[in-house]
Amino acid sequence: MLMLTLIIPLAGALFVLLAGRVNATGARVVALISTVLSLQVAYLLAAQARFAVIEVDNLWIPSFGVHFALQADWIAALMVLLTSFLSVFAVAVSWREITERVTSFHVWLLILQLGVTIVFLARDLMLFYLGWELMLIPMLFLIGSWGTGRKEYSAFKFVLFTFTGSIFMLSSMLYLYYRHIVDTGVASFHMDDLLQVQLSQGEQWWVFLGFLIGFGVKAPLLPLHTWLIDAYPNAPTAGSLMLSGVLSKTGIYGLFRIGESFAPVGFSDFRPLLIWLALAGIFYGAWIAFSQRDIKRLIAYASLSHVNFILLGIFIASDEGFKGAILQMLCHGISTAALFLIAGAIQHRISDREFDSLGGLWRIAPAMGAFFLFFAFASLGLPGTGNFVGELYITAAALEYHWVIGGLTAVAVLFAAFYSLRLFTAAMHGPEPAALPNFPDTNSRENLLLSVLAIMLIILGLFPSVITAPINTGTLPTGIETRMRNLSETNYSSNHIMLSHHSTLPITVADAALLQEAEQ
Amino acid sequence: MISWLNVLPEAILSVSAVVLLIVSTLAQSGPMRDLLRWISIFAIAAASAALIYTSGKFGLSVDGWTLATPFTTSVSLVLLSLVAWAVLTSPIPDTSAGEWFALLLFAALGSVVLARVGNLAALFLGIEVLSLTLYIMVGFKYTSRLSLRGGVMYLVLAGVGSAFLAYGMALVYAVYGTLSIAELRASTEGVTMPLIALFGYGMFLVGVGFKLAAVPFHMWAPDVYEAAPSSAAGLIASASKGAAIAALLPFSFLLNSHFLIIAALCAGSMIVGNLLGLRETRVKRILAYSSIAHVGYLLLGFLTIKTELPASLPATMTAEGAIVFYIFVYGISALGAFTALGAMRSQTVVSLNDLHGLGRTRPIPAACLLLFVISLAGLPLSIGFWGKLYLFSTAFKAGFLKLAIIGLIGSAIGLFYYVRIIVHLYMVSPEMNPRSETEQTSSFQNAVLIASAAAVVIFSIFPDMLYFLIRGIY
Repeated sequence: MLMLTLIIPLAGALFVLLAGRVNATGARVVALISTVLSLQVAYLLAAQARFAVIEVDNLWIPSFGVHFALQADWIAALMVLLTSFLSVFAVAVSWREITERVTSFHVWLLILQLGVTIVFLARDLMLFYLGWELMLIPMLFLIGSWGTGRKEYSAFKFVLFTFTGSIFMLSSMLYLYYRHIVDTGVASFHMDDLLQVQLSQGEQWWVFLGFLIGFGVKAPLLPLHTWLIDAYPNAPTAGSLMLSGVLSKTGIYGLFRIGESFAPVGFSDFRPLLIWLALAGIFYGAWIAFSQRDIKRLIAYASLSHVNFILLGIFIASDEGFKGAILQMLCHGISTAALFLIAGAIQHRISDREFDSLGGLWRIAPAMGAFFLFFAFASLGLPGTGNFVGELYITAAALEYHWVIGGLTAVAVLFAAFYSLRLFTAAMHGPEPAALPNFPDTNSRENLLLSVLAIMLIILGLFPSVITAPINTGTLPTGIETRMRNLSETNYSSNHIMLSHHSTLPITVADAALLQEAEQ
Repeated sequence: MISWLNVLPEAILSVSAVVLLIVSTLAQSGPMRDLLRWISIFAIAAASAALIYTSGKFGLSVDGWTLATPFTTSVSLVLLSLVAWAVLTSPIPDTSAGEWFALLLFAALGSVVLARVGNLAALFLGIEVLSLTLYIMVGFKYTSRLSLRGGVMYLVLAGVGSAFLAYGMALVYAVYGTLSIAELRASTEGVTMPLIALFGYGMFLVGVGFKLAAVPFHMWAPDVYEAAPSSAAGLIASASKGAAIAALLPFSFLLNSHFLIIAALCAGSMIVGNLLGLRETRVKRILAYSSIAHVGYLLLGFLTIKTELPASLPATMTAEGAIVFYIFVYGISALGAFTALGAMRSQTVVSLNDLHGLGRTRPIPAACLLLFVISLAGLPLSIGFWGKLYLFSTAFKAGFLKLAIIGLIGSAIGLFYYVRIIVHLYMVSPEMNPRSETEQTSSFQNAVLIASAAAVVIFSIFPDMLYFLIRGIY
């Protein structure tokens, strides 16, 4: 199951190459099949990982101590699920939008999916790094070849920022590797081995700083965000969807999975600063979003604001904060994907994204208007959607942490209302500009895609415990690793599927069937 | 007792080069010219077989001139394979094909002499054979002013380097009275070096620095690379540099006395090489700056050698292993990049704008160039990544944190110009291309390019396999 999550995108990419020799539709169909299969596998994986940690561990490069080690716990599996879910959408939204070099577009898309999946599942630091860098070149091509506007420049900036950040990350990894050799004489990049390394406070600061820069660029954390403003709007719809929906999550994921685990003291020492940075990011994103005249740029800044909301939840590092952050990661992925999808649809219809040339779409395209209304409000935390629950968790955690932080967080939620309303009214209300020619409403493909996204958000809103209940932690963490480990020791036995007595989860019939399937 | 069999590889290479020159006067027609290529390949294969056959079998050396240990055999084989690659892919010049391949064989000879060097005189000999060959190869298109200028420039500057080298060696000889590297190594152990010897070795390092184009002796590189035919430039970047580094390996005892000089050469090359590439708009010059930076990385590996040289490459990665690995990895990527570039654009000066749209009009060489450039940049899913990682992690292991981080930052800077090549190759539409003539490459050349580009990717998934191949079993 674990290996399949990697094999399917890889095989898919190869088959797309073959199918692309026949015609463009063939490439699209094969890519769609591949992503749907990935989604299926990811779902089964998540169903298993909910009850047990699933592992694969092979020595890969002996001379260097690199292991091909994958591990899926609940959180990793959720992220893989999100990735494959959004990959299906990435293929689907490109159906009409991408007409040039269709084959290579889908090959890059599938390689991107592979890289992201490796990042989420890797249990070996070098494997993680490989996955991390594997996202780089596909994204360079997706933005640079199929983007709009200053696409080459945006692609360039994205790659330079990410790669420079990852150099710092690699330095931290190599330092850990080196310290492990000094301590034990064994060369290994396996996370379980490297977690044994005892670093002094000073070392932890430097190591954490390296990770912070590497992951902060991708997330992005405030001073490292400038690539986003170019990359998000200028990417093709599938690109912005993957960037905001999935790639930003890799940064957040790395921060707690690796940064916090390997340098817990560094993390807790930097925490106050980071919390303020995240808060600043929320307000900054919201503020700039409000003054944008371009739909995609507005969504990009709004996404920046929301990602910092998630980061705030991570940095507060309480159980509520963490649960909220995980939930919000999923919901933000879905709602931003939907917004970029709509923005892409508008752009495709009129080749323009400026508010000045929009307006009155509500009358011309009621279905699109309805979806737009729903997702704009969902992203600001409409009750009934998952975003609401996530924000509630994080705000509660912030209040618990300190009343000032909590108060500011609550105000930030209010801020989101401003730009969301602006986004909606500018596009949908007001007089139709005379220049607006034939503007068809959403077609059935778009309706289907948007409905699925909307339904997912509502499900997450109504049953958030499906996500949060397995994140069932006891004490306040110094590192998520320890939290997750406690979890796996008390409730699970790794590598073996066992229903826990302590588990408070309602186990549905479907789950039980899946479990049986998995055991066979 | 001296066993002359030890110089069998060198003998095969030199004799076949001379034979090739004679044959070429008889054969100037088309099919015969292809035959010349295969004769050279055969000669290199025979030399490789001789290398493996003689490895450690007949005592270590001929009077201490060449060292036939398994380690030096590995290094020689790596260098020979790079030259063989150049032989396979280089386009056959319209006239004087025989001379071209003979020159390539002489370059192979020089590389092998350097890789197995055991004596200062042998070192000088090897460097001169290699350099003389390359002067001619750079100026091979002697009807072109640029090419001729490049050849002369290389001749003058490398001549200056040789002068430094010879002077340094003379001073060292004056102090110790021996040319044997093993004896020189022994005589420095536990003793502080006399001032004249310090100075002599310093001069020696300056000479090697010129050959390597390490900063601050790098000025000649961009002009020469641009003027040279693509495969000659590739050879200067790969085999010639690899051989010079290999020749430096036995001098690891200098790390005690001349550490700061070597570290400065290393750090300077890693930073300056990458910085200079940033503003460059001509592709071959960019690759030249990239090669300067790569010399820095190789020197970083050299700095981390602390003990006696191993008799053979060990199973786990050590500094020597990382260097040999990197010589191959970098060599094949640089050669591949130059060749792929030459396959698409035959003119001497290739600016970034000339690359526009080639991703679509010439998909195969362009894709190969993409992979080789990714490998040079050291991004994952290319062997370049593992090469760099091995070097940097040995530096981390040896405790050279600062230098390793300088190297990492250098490679982050360097990514800028590598990505620029990719962007110009793929993301600017061909309508804006001022010149859209397309060169034809032979299908054979294409096949070699594709195979090696595929190897760059495949070995990145199994880097240990490549290391095992390089390590050999003799």
